[in-house]
Amino acid sequence: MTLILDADAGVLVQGITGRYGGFRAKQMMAYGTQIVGGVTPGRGGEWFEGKPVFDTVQIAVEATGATVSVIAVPPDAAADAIFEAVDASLRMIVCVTTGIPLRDAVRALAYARQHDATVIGPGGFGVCIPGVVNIGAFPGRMAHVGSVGVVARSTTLAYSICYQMGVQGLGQSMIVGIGAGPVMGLSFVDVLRRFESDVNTRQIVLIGALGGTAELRAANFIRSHGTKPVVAYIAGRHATTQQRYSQAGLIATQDDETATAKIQALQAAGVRVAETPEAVTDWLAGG
Amino acid sequence: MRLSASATQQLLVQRGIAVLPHDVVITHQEIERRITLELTLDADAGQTVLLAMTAEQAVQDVLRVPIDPLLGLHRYQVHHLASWLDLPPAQWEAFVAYVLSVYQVYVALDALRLLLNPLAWLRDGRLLALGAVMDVDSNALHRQPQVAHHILQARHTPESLPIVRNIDFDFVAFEAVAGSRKPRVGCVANGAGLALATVDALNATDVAYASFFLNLGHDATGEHVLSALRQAADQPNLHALFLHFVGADVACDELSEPLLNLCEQAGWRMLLLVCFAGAGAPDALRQVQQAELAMLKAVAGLSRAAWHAAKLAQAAMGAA
Repeated sequence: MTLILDADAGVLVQGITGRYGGFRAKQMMAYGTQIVGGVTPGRGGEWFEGKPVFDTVQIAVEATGATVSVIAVPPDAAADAIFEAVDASLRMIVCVTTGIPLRDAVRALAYARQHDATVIGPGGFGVCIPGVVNIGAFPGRMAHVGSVGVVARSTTLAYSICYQMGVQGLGQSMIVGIGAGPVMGLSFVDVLRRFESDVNTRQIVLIGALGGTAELRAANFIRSHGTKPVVAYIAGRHATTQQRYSQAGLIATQDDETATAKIQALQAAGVRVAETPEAVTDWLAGG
Repeated sequence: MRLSASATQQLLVQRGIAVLPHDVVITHQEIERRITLELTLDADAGQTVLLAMTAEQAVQDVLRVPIDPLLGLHRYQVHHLASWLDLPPAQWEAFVAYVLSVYQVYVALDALRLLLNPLAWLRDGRLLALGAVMDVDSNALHRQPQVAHHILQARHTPESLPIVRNIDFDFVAFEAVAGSRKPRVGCVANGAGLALATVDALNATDVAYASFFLNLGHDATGEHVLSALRQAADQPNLHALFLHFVGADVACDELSEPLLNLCEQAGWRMLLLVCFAGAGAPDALRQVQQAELAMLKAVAGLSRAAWHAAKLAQAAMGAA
């Protein structure tokens, strides 16, 4: 999947009249993101904070010209929301819903891939270009304009590290939360590829955790194609294997899914792997 | 989330999959042939795969049949498997029906892995799984009442932690290190990755070690945090609690006053070290530090906070 972002793109919020969807929509509007409307089946014709609500994504796209959707609906409805967005020809979909049944997520992501649609998530915080656009759930006040590209599986670890970067006077060119689940749309490699070609990105932070092998593929990419310095933090050094640590699926079932295996692979690819989250910012600051 | 052998057997048999009952013994002489059959999620490929291996083959000779998530397992794919196994034509029909049924059950139960090992042809002509292992998706338990029932029956989450009794994967108790004289600290955070980082930082001090991991989720409110801390403090053999809270939708300074109130209560006996980061962190830190409570301390920076939590726990253990 490819991360192509138009800062002026019209953004729909699927689930805009819900508590969580409404909160996210307001946060994005406050940041300046071009929210052009929302979708809640059966609520078409209503208004939310001055934005029109539509019954279906198709109607919303025809009426507003939206090209991006943020999905903030309950877990059981999330896969259907992705199918609907893809069928309405949207090719950039940010799914911030967490706790989606895995089979639903697998089917929806397969459908998106078949139609060349990019899904960020499910369960990630989306994408934020500080000072430009914020699509998803990243807290805007923790984003600072700068030259560090940040890509993370863990949501609050990304918040924590970006916050600390701000304290130390550092900022980000782009912050992407791809979700911590075992299956995901946009991958570490997709985002790293984008950072490599982005002239505004001079350093990269990769925040991973135990479970899955996404970090190993990231290490392979960095070894083969990386030209920019990468600092990483991998959570779960002291975690036990075969133990699930979250709804999102943080679990190491194989030896290559442990934090230790990922740290070794990243180090072998020339990545500096910090032992603590604050060491990431210390290194970025030149420590 | 793994089901017990008896729960797996019961769920499969109820859906027409032949599995050997626990109280029945099959001798080697009764078995004509055996294979290993597994349905599992290949997360990297984003699809389920059917894996098969015969008893005579090496691990590298596994047949791997990818299954399109949108189309499911096709009959021809099972024909391919039957051919690869070199099954006699007379066994094909029953084998194909069995494997397709197994796949349907795998899908219907929201399983992430279903291993039949071995799947055996008996000399009397029956096709029977002699052992079965099933992992299910905890995100789908709400629509799998039978599966959820089995899990609740087998659950080991402490009664004193009702807040997490329905999400046991977010509370993980770590085994005590045999013979260790280090104090134990309960780690609580609003995010799974954050909680893992908190455990890592604490264990890295080499002064104390984590007693448990409790993730409240990144949308935890102040009420959730207080409720979880009250219950976490009741855990046995605990010397301190370490809360790592990153303010985002809920700012840290919204939490500081409730935390002060909690730790000023007459019944509160647990040392609590808080590491604040994110929105409202400086104000929250200042409020807690200025209160100078004996049972509540706040420190900025995860490593420093972990060190303080470990030393507090050490002091608490020495005083006990």
